[in-house]
Amino acid sequence: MRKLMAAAVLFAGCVPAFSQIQFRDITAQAGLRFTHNNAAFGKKYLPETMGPGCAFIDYDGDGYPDILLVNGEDWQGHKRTTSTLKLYHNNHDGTFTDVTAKAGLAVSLFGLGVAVGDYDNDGHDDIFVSALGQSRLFHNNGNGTFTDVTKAAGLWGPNEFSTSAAWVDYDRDGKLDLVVANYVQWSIDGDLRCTLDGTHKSYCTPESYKGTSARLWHNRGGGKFEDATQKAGLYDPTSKSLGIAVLDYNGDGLPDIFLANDTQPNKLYLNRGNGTFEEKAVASGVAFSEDGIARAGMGVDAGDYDRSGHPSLIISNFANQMLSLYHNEGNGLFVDEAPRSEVGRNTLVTLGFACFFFDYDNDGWPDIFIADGHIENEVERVQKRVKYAEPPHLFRNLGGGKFQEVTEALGAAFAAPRVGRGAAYADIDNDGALDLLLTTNGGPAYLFRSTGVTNHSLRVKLVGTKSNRDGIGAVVRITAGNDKQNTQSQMLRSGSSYLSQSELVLTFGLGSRTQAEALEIQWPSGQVDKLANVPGDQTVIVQEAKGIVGSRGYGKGK
Amino acid sequence: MHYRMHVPENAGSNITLHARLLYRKFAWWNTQFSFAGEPDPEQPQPGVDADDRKFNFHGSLKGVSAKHEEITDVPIETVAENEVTLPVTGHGSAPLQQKTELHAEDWQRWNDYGIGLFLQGDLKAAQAAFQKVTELDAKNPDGWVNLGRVAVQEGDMERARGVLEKALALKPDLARANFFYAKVLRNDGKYDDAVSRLRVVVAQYPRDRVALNDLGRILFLQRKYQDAVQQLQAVLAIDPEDLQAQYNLMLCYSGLGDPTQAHEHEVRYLRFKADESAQAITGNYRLLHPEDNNERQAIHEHVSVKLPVGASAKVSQKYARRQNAVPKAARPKYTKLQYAKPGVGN
Repeated sequence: MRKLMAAAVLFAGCVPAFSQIQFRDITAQAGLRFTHNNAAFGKKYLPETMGPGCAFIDYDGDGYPDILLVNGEDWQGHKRTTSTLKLYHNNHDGTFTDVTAKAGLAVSLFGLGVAVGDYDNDGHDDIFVSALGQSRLFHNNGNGTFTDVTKAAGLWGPNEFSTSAAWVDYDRDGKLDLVVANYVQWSIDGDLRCTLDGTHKSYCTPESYKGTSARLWHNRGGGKFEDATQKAGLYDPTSKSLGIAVLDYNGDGLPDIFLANDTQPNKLYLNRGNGTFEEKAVASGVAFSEDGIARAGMGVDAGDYDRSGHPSLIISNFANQMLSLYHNEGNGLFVDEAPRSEVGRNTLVTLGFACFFFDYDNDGWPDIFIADGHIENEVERVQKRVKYAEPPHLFRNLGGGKFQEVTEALGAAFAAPRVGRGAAYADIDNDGALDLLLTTNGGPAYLFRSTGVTNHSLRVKLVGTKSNRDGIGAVVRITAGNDKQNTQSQMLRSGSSYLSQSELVLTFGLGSRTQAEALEIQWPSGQVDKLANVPGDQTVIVQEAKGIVGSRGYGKGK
Repeated sequence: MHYRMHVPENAGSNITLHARLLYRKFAWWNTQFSFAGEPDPEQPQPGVDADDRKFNFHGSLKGVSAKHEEITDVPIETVAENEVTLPVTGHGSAPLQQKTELHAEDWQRWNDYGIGLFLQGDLKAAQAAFQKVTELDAKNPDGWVNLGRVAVQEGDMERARGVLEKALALKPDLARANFFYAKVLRNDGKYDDAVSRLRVVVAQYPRDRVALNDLGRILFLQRKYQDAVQQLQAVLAIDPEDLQAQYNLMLCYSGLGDPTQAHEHEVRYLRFKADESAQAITGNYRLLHPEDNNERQAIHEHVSVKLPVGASAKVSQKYARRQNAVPKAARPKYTKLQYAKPGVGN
């Protein structure tokens, strides 16, 4: 393994400084005092064990990501406490202030997931919260407050078990549309008894319940949405979706949609460019396990982890099912590479939820984070190795398609077992390194600050003009050095992970290099902007068809 | 299945449990149907999609495919029967230490017991049973192989490696040990070594679809699409409906750039695969019939009725009979048919 790492270091041309990196638990000092209300009171109702999600959102546009935490609420007749969404403002000094009430977000609902996007292109990011029952859309008024516009936007009505959500401009009209994953048809009256040990009730797996189609909300403009699920060919009532990833897997410039389904085949919807999609998951090899059997897909993300130029997929699965690491072969086919590396072996026993690619050590190779935690607190009664609270996984990308687990080296607090669910990343302290936010079921949300990263990075914030304002769906390619093999690519994406949303800024690790020789942005509108010799250690704000319109330095770039 | 019994206050110092396993080859109803079933003439003609007519069993037995032209009375056999006397302790007292007496000749029973538990999904108990096999005869590779099988199922590849290597040391060419060891090697990413192990299996059992499928899959993961196709086509020569082979052939032909063949196998795969949503259809029924819902749980309990304090032996037997009876809600609805009530052992 050492040989491999050395080879990777040479190949990437980076400083082997990853061993100094720590993720420090700064939850308490940051002022995050949040406990998820999962509403559990002994009846083991399925929705209790699924949440919550979390998001980084720069709601006041000051360049520092703020935090939104989703919460549940007590069941009717079992009211014990009042729980609401929570919004924490980033004070720029490593601390956060609870501004929930002031922002108008002290809303109680059985919330599960969240997606952030500027759907009306007014320059202020809005919030969609998915829920059991009625999901909500909160419009950012631009003055630190939000207004619930669910009814006015035409989103009122569906009472579903909604999970992850993602903003995507699927028809490339410059307005963000919304795709919402739905889980199963569940109600208290229809709750079934399942048991793991023959004695105690446990949470049922979703096979027992009927599925629900995901919904695609088309943005008509003027703050109005229409249900385009059937028209676009996304209607599938058998789906039991938990995760959404938006990716352009065939490189045609159109955003495709992947749905991670729990005990149902995953779905890969190829965007045909005419407002409709074609389902391709089976033929692409991402619908099933190798036996042709549906797995329990939870979280999902897409990323070009091997610099092939094609986004590959990771999908977290149930305990005793390893993470799927579907390598995009570039010909419509995906091949699962998980068993070849520690990514597969080390995730076999754990139950993963949130999962994503992010370059934690800024060496230019996207690493993999997975939040773990079982759904059943009594699972240890019947399975020796499987635990309820489980440590997360962080796999360092060694290049050449190899990964190495480094979780324990990142600090005891980070590696502690928890009942993880949602997770997101952002640079909360403007040091050019990515920090982590993790939620736990029925427990606290944790904020981990990255320290000890010495590699350089370049961060890119997009401002669309013809494209949607956030630039969601844009593919950014960076070449550090003149070798084309050093080209990294990322799509600015909403969704991914599990129930959660990371910041809408892209971070590219540069290793020991201090600039990107080439920076190319392929906007959703089709516009391609090319920039040369962009210095690292800064966040650049790039406007569509205009180039860099602002920047903020960090580290040596200050 | 677990049994939970309420022990009466006056049970004394010992309680004796008697168990027997009854078996009848075919269900009574199916036997009657096969020999003399005919549609009830009162029933309307069936539709195009389904024939759900009621049947009676008055049909002619002439020429029936049996030794005698009569409905065979399939006997109910007692397959196994045993009795055990357990000591009874008072409430709150420390449980007595269980002592299991092991007899060398019982290894196969422990092994079969473990396999039953394994198939039920009770991996912890299965492991304990297989452990007994190895304690009874450490030179018998079967116990080690099955311990390895449990470990593979649990995802504990390190434990699996240890016990499977013990089995292979005892019998290097044992097919089952090589098969499970190939799974461990595959999880290590050692595809070439896993392929070698599977070739040992296939050399002994060339018509083993499971081993051939595993071999084909690993070759696919190695992007050796043509080699994989060869193995997977061998599976289809044995069973043209093999799901895993159809699925992986679809992927292999995609890898080979042959969309026509890939589509062909995709269509067949989708034709033969299970409907993942089928289970959900039973949701309402399970809600209305908690006894049947209990039966479908991989591990479930049958609980005895609590006997009144001071009940006589006669009363106890009556309660026991009541407990063994089929719950009313779980009884099949046969009311429109004229035949005797099915017996035990269906």
